[in-house]
Amino acid sequence: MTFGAVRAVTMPADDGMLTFRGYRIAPRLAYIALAVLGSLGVVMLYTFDPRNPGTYPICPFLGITGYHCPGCGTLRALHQLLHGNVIGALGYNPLTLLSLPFIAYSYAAGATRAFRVPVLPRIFIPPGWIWVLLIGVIAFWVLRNVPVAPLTILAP
Amino acid sequence: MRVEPRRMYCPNCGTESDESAKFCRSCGKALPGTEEQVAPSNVDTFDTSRGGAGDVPAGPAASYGAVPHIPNYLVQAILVTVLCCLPAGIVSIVYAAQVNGKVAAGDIAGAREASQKAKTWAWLSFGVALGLGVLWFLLTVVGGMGATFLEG
Repeated sequence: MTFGAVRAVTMPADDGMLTFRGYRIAPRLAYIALAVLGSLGVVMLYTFDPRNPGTYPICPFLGITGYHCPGCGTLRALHQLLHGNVIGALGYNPLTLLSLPFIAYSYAAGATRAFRVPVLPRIFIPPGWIWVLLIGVIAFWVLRNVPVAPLTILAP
Repeated sequence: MRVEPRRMYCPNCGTESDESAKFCRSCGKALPGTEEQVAPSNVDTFDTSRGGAGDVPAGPAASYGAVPHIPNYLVQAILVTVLCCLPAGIVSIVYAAQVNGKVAAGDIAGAREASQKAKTWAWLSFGVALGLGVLWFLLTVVGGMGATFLEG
């Protein structure tokens, strides 16, 4: 969660505009800051295994309700991915792994735009796809909490 | 709902402006004349009629026409969903879908409204998660050090 928190602080809008109380913060600075914080997060996640309790904060939803949320297992999945274990990462959170290419592309497209090298076009995602994603996330949320044999593989 | 004739949208960032405005009040780019209400073909827009990549030059021949780019904050919505573990991320995904739906339907004002809500919910989720993270840090790390100090 710490990793995600620092990432999102300077997450600019995907049009490259970052504003705070009406003041624009230079998009280039934001993308550089994101790269630095993201790298720190990667080093931290590579070094410290989230399977050890107390290393990172517990998911608030899991802490309060006792049920897994769609994001549970993200840090463990990323730790496994950084150590080259893709199958293990998928086992902890397939949603996180599947969203990584989209997140990486959005960052790359925004950064190239901010630095005036628009080699990567913005992608207009058809609204139907986002609704499908929404249904998928909610279904994943529900199904990974069902303690029945085939569905238990969805739990982190 | 269609674009109102007396309103104008910045072709660079999509901010609504008065039709007499010369420059966008959000990003400062020069605005086109009133005869080009939506966007000229040489600016950064999506061609929603393709429903795919936005790298094709948008032209007036498209069925929906070229529209300004309106951020849907889908990346932020996904990030807070997988990292902040809060239902507020789901709300942000709903508004992200609404932004693109309204852009595709030509409802620019509605899309901007949904865009604002998507942004608000993503930040709300992030803010709550950050607050809980700080609380966790104070209780676990600082509290743990304090306990060790008292015992020693």
